[in-house]
Amino acid sequence: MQQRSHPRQPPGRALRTLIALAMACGAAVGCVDDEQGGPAGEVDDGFDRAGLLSALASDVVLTELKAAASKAETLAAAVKADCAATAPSPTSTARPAWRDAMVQWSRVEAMRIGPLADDSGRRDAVYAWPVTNACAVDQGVAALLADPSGFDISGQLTNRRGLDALEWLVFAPDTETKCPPQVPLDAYTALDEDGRRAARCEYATLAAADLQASIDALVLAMQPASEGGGGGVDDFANAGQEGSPFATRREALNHMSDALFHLEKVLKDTKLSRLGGFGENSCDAVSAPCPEDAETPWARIDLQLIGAQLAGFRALFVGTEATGFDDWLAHHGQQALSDEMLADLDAAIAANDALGGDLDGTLSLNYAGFVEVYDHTRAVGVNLKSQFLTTLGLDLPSSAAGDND
Amino acid sequence: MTDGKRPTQPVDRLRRWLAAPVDAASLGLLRALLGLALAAGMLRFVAEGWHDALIAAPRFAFQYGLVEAWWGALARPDAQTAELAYLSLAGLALLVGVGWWARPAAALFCLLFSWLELLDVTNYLNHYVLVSLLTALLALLPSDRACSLRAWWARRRGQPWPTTIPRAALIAVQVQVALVYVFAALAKLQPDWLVHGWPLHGWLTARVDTPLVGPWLGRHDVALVASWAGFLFDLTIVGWLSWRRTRPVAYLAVLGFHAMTHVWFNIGMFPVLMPIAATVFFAPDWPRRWLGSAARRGRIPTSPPTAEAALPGPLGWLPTAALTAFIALLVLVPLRHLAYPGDVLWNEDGMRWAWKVMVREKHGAVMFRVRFGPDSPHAGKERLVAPARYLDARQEREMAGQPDLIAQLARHIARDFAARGHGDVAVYADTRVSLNGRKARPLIDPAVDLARVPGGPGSSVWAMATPSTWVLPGPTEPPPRLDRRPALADGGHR
Repeated sequence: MQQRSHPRQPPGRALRTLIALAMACGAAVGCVDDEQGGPAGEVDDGFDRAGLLSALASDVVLTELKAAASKAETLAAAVKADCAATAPSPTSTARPAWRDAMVQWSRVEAMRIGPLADDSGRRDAVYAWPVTNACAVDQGVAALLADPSGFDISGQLTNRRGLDALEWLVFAPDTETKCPPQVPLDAYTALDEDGRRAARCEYATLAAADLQASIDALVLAMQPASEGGGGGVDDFANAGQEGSPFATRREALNHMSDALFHLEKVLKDTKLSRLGGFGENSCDAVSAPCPEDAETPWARIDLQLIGAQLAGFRALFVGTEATGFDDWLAHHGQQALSDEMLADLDAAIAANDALGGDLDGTLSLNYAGFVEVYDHTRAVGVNLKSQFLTTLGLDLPSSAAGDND
Repeated sequence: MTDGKRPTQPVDRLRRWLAAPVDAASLGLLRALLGLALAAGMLRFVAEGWHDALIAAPRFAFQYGLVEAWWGALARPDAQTAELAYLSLAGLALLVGVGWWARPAAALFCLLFSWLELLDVTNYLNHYVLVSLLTALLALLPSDRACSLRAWWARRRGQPWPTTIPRAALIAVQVQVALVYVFAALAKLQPDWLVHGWPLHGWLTARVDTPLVGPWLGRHDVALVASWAGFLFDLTIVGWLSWRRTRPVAYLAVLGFHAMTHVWFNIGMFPVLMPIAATVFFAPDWPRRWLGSAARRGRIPTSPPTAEAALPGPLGWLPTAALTAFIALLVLVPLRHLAYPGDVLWNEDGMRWAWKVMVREKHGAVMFRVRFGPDSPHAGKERLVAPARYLDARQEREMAGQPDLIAQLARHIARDFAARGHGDVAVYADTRVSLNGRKARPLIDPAVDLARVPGGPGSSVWAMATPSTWVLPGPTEPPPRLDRRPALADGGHR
């Protein structure tokens, strides 16, 4: 026999009314203009997150990018000058100019946001590391020789362009190529010494100009739309508002904090780890240096680049007046964490400075000093991956796939 | 004893009560809504590319204890097969939803879905477990007697088709859903949640740019109130939903609660699943009466449930035993953490399968140290191995706070080094983990060779159930207050 559990009047009306009310409330909340205390509001909980984003994008990253553009301009002029000499060779003035440009770019590498972090390849056009290849550069030189009028360096693969290509062109010890015999470089190898130098010089001139154009394009992409730029800075300043690729300000903050993880993932776990033989490396070294894994195999300025990346991290972490991640941590009562991270960072910078800049000398004679740089950098990374994230409610980079519960 | 007609023993009375027919409409509608929601969820999974990112792409997959002990690892599909599997799941869920071959479809869905979710522990989600359990129940119970194409087809052809189900069927689903809420409440019965408002304090503070309410979200007292509200909601909502007088308001609260969790937290299908599941506490005939009410106004055709021939006997001993065992399992498994020393939020012993939904925020840094054995040319030396060598960022994030996963990767690293000709190595882990915003501290004893701790292939169940003595004690200090502003001495700038 059918049994009805609750033999009473059809219910429904009260419930339906309540659900309708709930839907109306939901719709009302959903239609609230974001500017009512949302992304456009500046109050939040008293810390100016929009100001943080704006300052870091504009006053830190864009400023560093402009400095890189200036160094690239100097480099282009130096290469051109060297190559205009009677015995053209992109070395005497180009080498210090390249070092300056590379060190400045390393600061930028530590703050890869916006167009520097997207998959457009614009960063790789400036610096393709770790996909560097001296042979590929010489292939480019050969291609230029084979078709001088039709050659377009901006259409070349990224490992034939940028700072890494210029390192080979400027610091190569001789005119010999690194290509294996099966790679045809007839147009290049048919030349005598002077001809090869001149060919590399011509290629270097094009590469330096292309580098300058690439960095200028990045500067333009980051500049505010009000200054005729692509509005990269605006994307951060207006995060959560229409027109910004960041749907919420938190998304933009996560993107900004992702850049900080360059120190952990690239500097510590790749560059320092391989060079110091702490992790896997080309030499199968264990707790011993592996000079073959240098980031700059020809210029040998890895220590300067490490210093620049630590400094770049610091610039992004500290930001400007009262608008850095350190200030954000302090705002949440986590001054101790901020102090600890900065103390470890400064210790890493000091330890690196103490090495004196001689990469090979350091690795062979002062390995303990290099280990010290690694240990202090690692300490920064530990706090970055743990309490920094839990305190500020940020996510580990690239870890957002899937749901939670 | 019974007199043969009237049950006198409490157990007999209970069995007769469980066997009593109730309207199948409530369970039928739940099945329909759940099936459609799951179909959408599976399509979303494919659309997001998660069949590749979460299932096929990872270089290494964390195994559940028994799987690792008995089989080593489950076979993983490639991206194309995984996509096909999730699309098949969407098709099966649709069959469940429309009620055509619903029970076999639910059974297949349950098996396929559970297999995919068992492939990697880092994919574990409480609501995935709920999906597996609910679809298993839909397969076992006569969930297609109402709100189904099958029922409509039978009626159309004039075939007899029952429109009632034994009350036990409804009770099984009710117990399942109720326990999710109750255990979610019990998981919150700890100082971090109830005294310090964590992890909500951290999560809400990170969402201060929410429209309207944003400026209040950074306040600790708001987090504390929200924590208590969440606890009381989970603890009592089943009662409010079950009581006819409070049901409308309670269901409104369910909608509001899960809508909020959807807005603030990335918890996928959960905010959809629970409002659907919560309807199981309504009167069994509520859909029919709703539709009937509409039908009387000439909008929707409906038909009353057919009368059952006779008052059924007591529920058979087998179904009674099965129901009892099912409920016992549902109750005991989530409580197993009580058998382990220490804080489950820290050591994670008994964390899974326990409805500990969103009760902790954990981030950590892990670095493995591989010490070469005496046969190696590097004997006695150590090489650092970053987890990223084997894991993607999401897996690394999940592993960093879960000791058993750290040990499992250590075993894998040892095997990998052996396979690459390095012989027998010891694997240690340097760990620092922050729980609910606290200062990071070591999670695992750095002097313990994790490649040799209990667990792993060939381990006994007993060994795996042994408390992890190599996990260091958790923090004793309270989590931080994030709304305590610093003195404005120097602006904080350096």
